[in-house]
Amino acid sequence: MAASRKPNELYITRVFDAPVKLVWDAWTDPKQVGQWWGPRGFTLTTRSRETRPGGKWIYTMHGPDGTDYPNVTTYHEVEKYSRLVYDHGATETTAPLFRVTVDFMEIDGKTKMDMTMALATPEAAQETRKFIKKAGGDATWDRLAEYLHEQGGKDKFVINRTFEAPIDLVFDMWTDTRHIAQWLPPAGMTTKFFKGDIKKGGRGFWCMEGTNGVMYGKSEYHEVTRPNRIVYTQSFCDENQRTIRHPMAPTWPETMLTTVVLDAEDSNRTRVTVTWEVFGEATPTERETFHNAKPGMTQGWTGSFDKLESYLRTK
Amino acid sequence: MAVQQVSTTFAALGDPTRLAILSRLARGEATVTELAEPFEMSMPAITKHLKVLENAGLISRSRDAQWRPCRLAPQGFKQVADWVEDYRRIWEASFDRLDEYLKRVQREQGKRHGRKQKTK
Repeated sequence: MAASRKPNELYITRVFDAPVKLVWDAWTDPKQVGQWWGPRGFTLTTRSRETRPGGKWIYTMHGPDGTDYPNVTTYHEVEKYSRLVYDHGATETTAPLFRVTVDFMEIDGKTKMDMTMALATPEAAQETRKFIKKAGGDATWDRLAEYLHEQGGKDKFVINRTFEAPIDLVFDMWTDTRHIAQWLPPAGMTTKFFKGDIKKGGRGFWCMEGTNGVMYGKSEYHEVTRPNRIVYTQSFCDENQRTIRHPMAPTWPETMLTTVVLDAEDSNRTRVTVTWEVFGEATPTERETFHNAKPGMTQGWTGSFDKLESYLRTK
Repeated sequence: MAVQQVSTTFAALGDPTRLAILSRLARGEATVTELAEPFEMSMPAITKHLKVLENAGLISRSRDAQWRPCRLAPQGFKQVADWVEDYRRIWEASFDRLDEYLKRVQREQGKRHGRKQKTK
C-alpha cells in the first residue's frame, strides 16, 4: 500500500503469477493485449501502437452488443519492465479521462502491479470508480490474470470485487464460520457448519438446506495468512463427509482450489480477488468441463461466442 | 437444462474446427461443401463435426432440401449462454451478499464502539 493516498486518485494493486517480462509483453504487444483488455465479452482491434514517450496507441474496443468504442492512449513515460505513464480514455476528438501510472515489480517470479489513476477532482474520481464498476472494467485485471495463467499452461478462473471495509474485517468474513454462513451460500439456502477449523491444515464441513433439499460440502485449508491470503480446497460430499460429484453437473471437477487474496486500496477499501482452479488429479473431461464453463476465457471460444451471441440477439 | 445436455454441448464447443464452423454459420446458413472450403479436411471429417454439433443442439440441418444446408439453432445457444452466465453469477451473487453483510456488520460495530478511528 502506498504511503500517501489522495482523494482524487484511484488505486489498484495486483500480483500476477508470472515474471515481469510476460506481464510487460501482455501489456505492450498489440496481439496479446487484444486477448484480455477491457470488460468481459469485449474484443479489441489495434490500429496503431507506438509504446514510447509521446507515442500513441490507437484502438477500438468492440462491445458484446456490437457497439464500438474508439480509444486513443498517449504515453508519457515508458520504462521497459518497470513503468508506464499514459493518458487514458481519449478519442480523436475528445480529451483523456485520466492519467495512469503503472509500476511493475518482479518478486519471486511474480509481478506486482501498482496502478494509480489520477483524476482532476475527488468528485471525478468517485464518478470514475462508479463508472468502471458499472462498465465491468475491473474484470480486465481478472482477464489479464487468466491470460497469464493460460500462457503458463494453467487454467484458472479469476474474479474480483472491491468492498468498502477495512482489510481485517474482510479477512474475518472469510475465516469466521459465523460470518461465512451469512453471505457465501446461495440465496434461499441456510448453512450450518458442523466443523469450521479455519487455520492452516484445518477442515470445514457444513450442510446447506434449501427448497431443493440438503447438500453437504467440505473444505480443507492450505493457507490462512492474516491479513491477506486464504487458500482452501472444496468439494461436495455426503453426510459422512465422503466426496461426491456435483449434484447438478457430474463432469464438474471433484475438488476445486480457491485462492482468496485481499488488498487494502485505502484504510476503508479492500479489493478481494478470488482465483478458482481444478485441484489434484482430474480427468480430461473434468478439466474440459471447467475450461469450457469459463466465460470470456479462451480466445477461440470468446471471439466466436461473442459473434454468435450478437447474432442471436437479432433473432 | 439437463446436465447431460450441458456436457454434450460443452464438449461440442471445445474444438477449434467446430467453433470456426459455428462462426461461419453466424453469418448465415451454408452447405456442407461451403463449410468444408476453408479447412484442409475431407468431407466425411466435416460431416462428422456437423453431426456432433447437431447432436448437441447447436445447429440444425434441413431435411428436405437436396443439399441440406446447416444453420444455427438459437435455442441450443441460449441454453449454453444461460448456464455459462450462471457460473459467474455464483460469485457475483456471493459478493453482493458480502457487500450487504459488511455494511450491516460495520453499522452494528459503529453502534457498539462509536466511529472507528481512521488512519489518513
